[in-house]
Amino acid sequence: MREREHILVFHFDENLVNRLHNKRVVVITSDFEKVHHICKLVNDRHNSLHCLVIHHKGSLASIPFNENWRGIPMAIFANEMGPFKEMMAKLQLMRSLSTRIFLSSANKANFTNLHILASLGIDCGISFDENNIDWEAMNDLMTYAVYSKVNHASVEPFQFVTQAYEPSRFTEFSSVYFDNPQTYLHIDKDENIALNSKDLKQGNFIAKGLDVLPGIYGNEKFVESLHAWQSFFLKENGCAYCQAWRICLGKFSESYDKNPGCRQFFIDLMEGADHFRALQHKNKRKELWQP
Amino acid sequence: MATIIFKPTEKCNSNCIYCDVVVKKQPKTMSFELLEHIFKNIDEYLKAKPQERIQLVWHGGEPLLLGEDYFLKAAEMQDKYCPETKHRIQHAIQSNLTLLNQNFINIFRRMGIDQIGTSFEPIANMRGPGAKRDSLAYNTQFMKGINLLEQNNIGWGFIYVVTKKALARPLDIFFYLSNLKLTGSFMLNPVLVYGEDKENIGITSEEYADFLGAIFPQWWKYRDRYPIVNPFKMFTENLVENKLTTGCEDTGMCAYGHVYIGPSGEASQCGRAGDWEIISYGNINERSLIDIMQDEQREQFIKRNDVLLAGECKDCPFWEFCHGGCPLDSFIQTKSFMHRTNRCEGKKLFLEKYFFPITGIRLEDKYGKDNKKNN
Amino acid sequence: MANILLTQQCVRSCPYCFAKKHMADSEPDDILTWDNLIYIADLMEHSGEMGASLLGGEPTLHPQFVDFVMYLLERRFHVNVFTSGIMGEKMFNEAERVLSGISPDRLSFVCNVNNPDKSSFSELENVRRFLKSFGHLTTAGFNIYKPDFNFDFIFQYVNEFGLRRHLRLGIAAPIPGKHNLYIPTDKMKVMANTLINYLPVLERLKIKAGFDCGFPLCIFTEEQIGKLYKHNAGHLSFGCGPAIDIGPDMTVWGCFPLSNIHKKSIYEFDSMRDIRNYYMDIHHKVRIEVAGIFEACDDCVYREEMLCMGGCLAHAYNHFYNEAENVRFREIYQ
Repeated sequence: MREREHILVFHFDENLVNRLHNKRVVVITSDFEKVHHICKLVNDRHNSLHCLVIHHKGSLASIPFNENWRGIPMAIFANEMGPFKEMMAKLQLMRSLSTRIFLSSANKANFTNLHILASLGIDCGISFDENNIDWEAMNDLMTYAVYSKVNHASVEPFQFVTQAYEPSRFTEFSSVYFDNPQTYLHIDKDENIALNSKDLKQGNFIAKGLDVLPGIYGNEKFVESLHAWQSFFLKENGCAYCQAWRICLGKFSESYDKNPGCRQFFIDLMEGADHFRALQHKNKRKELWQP
Repeated sequence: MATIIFKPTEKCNSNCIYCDVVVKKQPKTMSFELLEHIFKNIDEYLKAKPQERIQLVWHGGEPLLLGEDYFLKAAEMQDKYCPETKHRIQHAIQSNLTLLNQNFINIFRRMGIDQIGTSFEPIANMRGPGAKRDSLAYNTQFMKGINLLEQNNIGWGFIYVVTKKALARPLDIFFYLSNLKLTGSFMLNPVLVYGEDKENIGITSEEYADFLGAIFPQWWKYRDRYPIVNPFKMFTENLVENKLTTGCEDTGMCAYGHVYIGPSGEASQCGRAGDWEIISYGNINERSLIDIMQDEQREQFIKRNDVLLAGECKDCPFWEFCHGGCPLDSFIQTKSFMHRTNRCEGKKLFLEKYFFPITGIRLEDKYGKDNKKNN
Repeated sequence: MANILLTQQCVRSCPYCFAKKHMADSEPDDILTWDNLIYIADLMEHSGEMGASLLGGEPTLHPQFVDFVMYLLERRFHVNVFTSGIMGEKMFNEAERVLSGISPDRLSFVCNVNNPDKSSFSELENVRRFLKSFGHLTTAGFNIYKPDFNFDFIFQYVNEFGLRRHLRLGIAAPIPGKHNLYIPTDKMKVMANTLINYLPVLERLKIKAGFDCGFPLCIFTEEQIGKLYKHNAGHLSFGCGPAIDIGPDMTVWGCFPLSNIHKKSIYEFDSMRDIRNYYMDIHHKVRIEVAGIFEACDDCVYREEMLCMGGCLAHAYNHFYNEAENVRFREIYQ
C-alpha cells in the first residue's frame, strides 16, 4: 500500500492549529462566524485546508451564506432544508460557493430535499444516521443520482461510489465523510489520534502526539485497522456473504438485523456503478499520441 | 512442460474434513538425502531433454511445516546440482498459508515463486486443527497469511471444495469467496471422496451441477466483477470465445506430462494417484526420473483417448475440453481407466440446464447439427 | 407543452366541465408530490420541452403551488397556469408576493372565467382580486357550452385589470358516456354565428380570440373563415390532437374528455415524444373508424389535408358509447 501523509481531522482549536505546520487539515466547527478566522489561522501556519466542516443544528435555509465564502471548500451538515422560498433566495449564492450540503437520513423529508437540491444544481449528500435509514427512500434518491438523464448536481456518497468503483478493489465511501483511516486521521486538542470520528468520540485512540504521525504506517493498531474488514470473514453469516460487500464493507452490520434494507440498496448501487463504468468505457475517446 | 507434484511431507497442521492425506496416521517427511537425490535426477532429466522445462509443485500435507531451513536447503541444492538447468526449473507451492511469515516469503522469492495456490472454506468446523477443527483460529491465521502475500505483491488463487454442507447456500458461498478475493482467481471443485463417506460430505454430479447452476446466472450477468471463476471461465472460453483451455483432469494429455513424488520417493501419476495409491511408477531411489517419466503404464492414458473417442465419448461435442474427465476418477468408479468419469454427466447437465440457456449459445451454432466442430 | 395536474380537486362546479368525471373518480388527497414534479420536469427537459402548464382541478389548491412554480421557473421552464383565480387568502398573499413580479415571458396565467350571472358573489370577488394582481400575466379563457353564449363581461375584465389582449376560446366537449353540458354537433353553426358576431367588438378592443382544440372548420361559412383569418392574421387552427395530461398519480392520458381511455403510467414511456406518439396512434385509429363529428368529414378534403381534424375526438367516442356497447375495436376504447 502506498504510504502518504494523512489529512488531519479535528474540531477547531486555536492552540492545536498553531501547533500544526505544513499539514492538510479538515477543521470542524459549528460557528459560521469563525469561518474566516479559521481559514486565516490555517493558512498562516502554511497548512492546507482540505475542507471546513460545519455542523449546523438548524435548517439549510437559516444558514447565513456569505459571498466571502467563495473559494473555501466547505461541507455543511444541516438537519433539514427549511422553507423552500427561503432556500431559493440563497440559491444563486449557494451555487457560487464550493460547498456541499449534507442532510441527515434521520429526517425522511430530507430524501426529497436532496432530490430538490441536486435538481437545482446544489451539490449535496446524505448523512447516514445508522439508527434511522429508510432504505427505499435512499434507493429512490440513488436511482435519481445515478440514472437521471438530465444534468443535475452530484449527490454523495453515490457520486463517489460510481466514480471510484472498480470491481477489483474495495470502494471505501467513508472518505466522503472524512472517516477513511487510509486517508484521514482524527485528532483532538490533546493530540490523541484516532482512526475515525466515532473512535475519537469514544476515546479509542491509536497513538498520541503529532510527532508519531510520520511513522503511523508502522503503528500496530493502524496496520490492524487496514485489515479490520477481515473480521467479517471470520463469521458464518453476515456482511461477508453479501453481494455488495465490496462497496459497503459492513458499515451497517450493526443495524442489519433490525433494518436489512441495506443489502438491496447496495446491490442496486453497485449495479448503478457498473452502469456508470460501462458508460465511461463506451464514451472513452482514444488516446492520441502526444508530440 | 513436465509437472512434478512434489510431496516432501504428509504432515499437516489442519484436519480438513475431505483430506485424503491427513488420514494417514504416520505422516512421513522427505529426508535431505532424498531431496538431494531428486535434484540430481531433475538435472539429469533436463540435460537429456534440452527443450524441456519442469514445474516443481510443492504439496503436502502442509509444506510450510518443513520449516524455513528446508526450503533454504532446497534452494541451495538446486544451485549446487542444477547449475546449468535451474533456469528451466519453475517452483510453485500449494499451502494453507497459516504458517506463512516474511522469511518464507523471502525464500520463495529466491526460488522464483511469485504466486501461491491455496484453498479456503467459510463454513465453520470443516477445516482447522484438532478433532473439532477450530476454523476460527485457522481462518484468522489464513487471513494473516494473505495479508502478508499482498503486502509482498505475491499473487494467490484458491480452490473451494464443494461439499454437501455447501449445497444449501450456493450464492452465499459464491459471494463470500468473490468478496474474499476481488480479483477473482478461484475454482469451485467438487469434493472427491475415496472410499467410505464417513463425514457425509460427498455430492453427486447432479448436485454439483445444480450448485454451479445456482451461481452461474449471477456470474454470467456480472462477469466483469468476477473475472476468473472456474469452471465458468473455462466453459466460457471454450464455448463462447473459442479458446481451448482446460484443467489438468480434462486435457487428456497427462500421460507423459505429470508425475508424483512422495516423501519416501514413491512415484505415481499425480497427487491423487499417489494419495490413493492407484498406480505406481516405482521409487525414485531405484529408478531415474527419466525412466519414471517414460514408464510404459503411461501408455494406457494415451490409449484411453482412443477408446473413449471410439466408444463412450463418440460424437460428444465437449470432448475437446473434457476428454472423458480424469482417468483416476474413472478408475475409482469402474476399476478401469478406460471409461469416462461420471462427472461427465454433471458437466453435461450443467451445460444443458444452465450454461446454454443462460448464455444463449446454441450448441448447433458452434458444432453443427451433427455435433461436428464447424471449424 | 404537457399539462401537469397538481391536484384533482376544484373550487367550482362548472356545468360544462369535462374534467368532472376524472375528478369524481380521484382521491381528494391526490396531489402531486415534489419527487414526482421533479421526475416530470426531468422527463420534459430530457425531451426538450421547456413549457409546463399547471392545471387541476384548481392548481392553486395545492399547498406547494407557489413553491412548484418557483421551482419550475428556476429550472428555466416557461410556466403557464390554468386557474379559476379563486383561492384562499393565504395562498393568494403568498402568490402575489412571490409571483406577481415575474416577467410575462416566463410566467403566464389562463384564467377560465364564467359569466358573472352564473357565479356567486364570493367567487366573483376572488376572481377580481386575482385579476387585479395578476392581470398583466393573464389571458382570459372562456368555454363555450351554449350556442347562444355571451362573454361581454370579459371585455370589462380586460379593460379594468389590464389582461392580455388575447382570449382563449374553448368548446365544451362531451365526456363519453356522461352527461355534461356541451355543444351538440347540430348546434355548432349557431355557435359559430354567435362567435362571428363578436369579431367587430374584439377588433375594436384589439383583443385576439384564439381557438382551443376541437373547433371544426365547416361550422363556419367561407366568408366567416375569411373574417377569422383576417382577425388572427392568418393564425387559425381547427385542430384536435393529444394534449398530454399528467396526473398527480403519475398517470397520463391523451386529453381530459378522454381521461378514462387508455390511461397509462408515465413510467412506461422514455420521453414526451413517446407519450405523444402513443396517443396520436390511438387517435388515428379512432379517426379511421370515425373521421369526424359530421358525416361529411369522411370525404372532406380539408380533413385529408389536415387543415381541420374533424372536430373533437370526444364526440367520436361518445357516438359509440351512446349508440351501442363497445363491441367494435374494443382495444381502441379500453
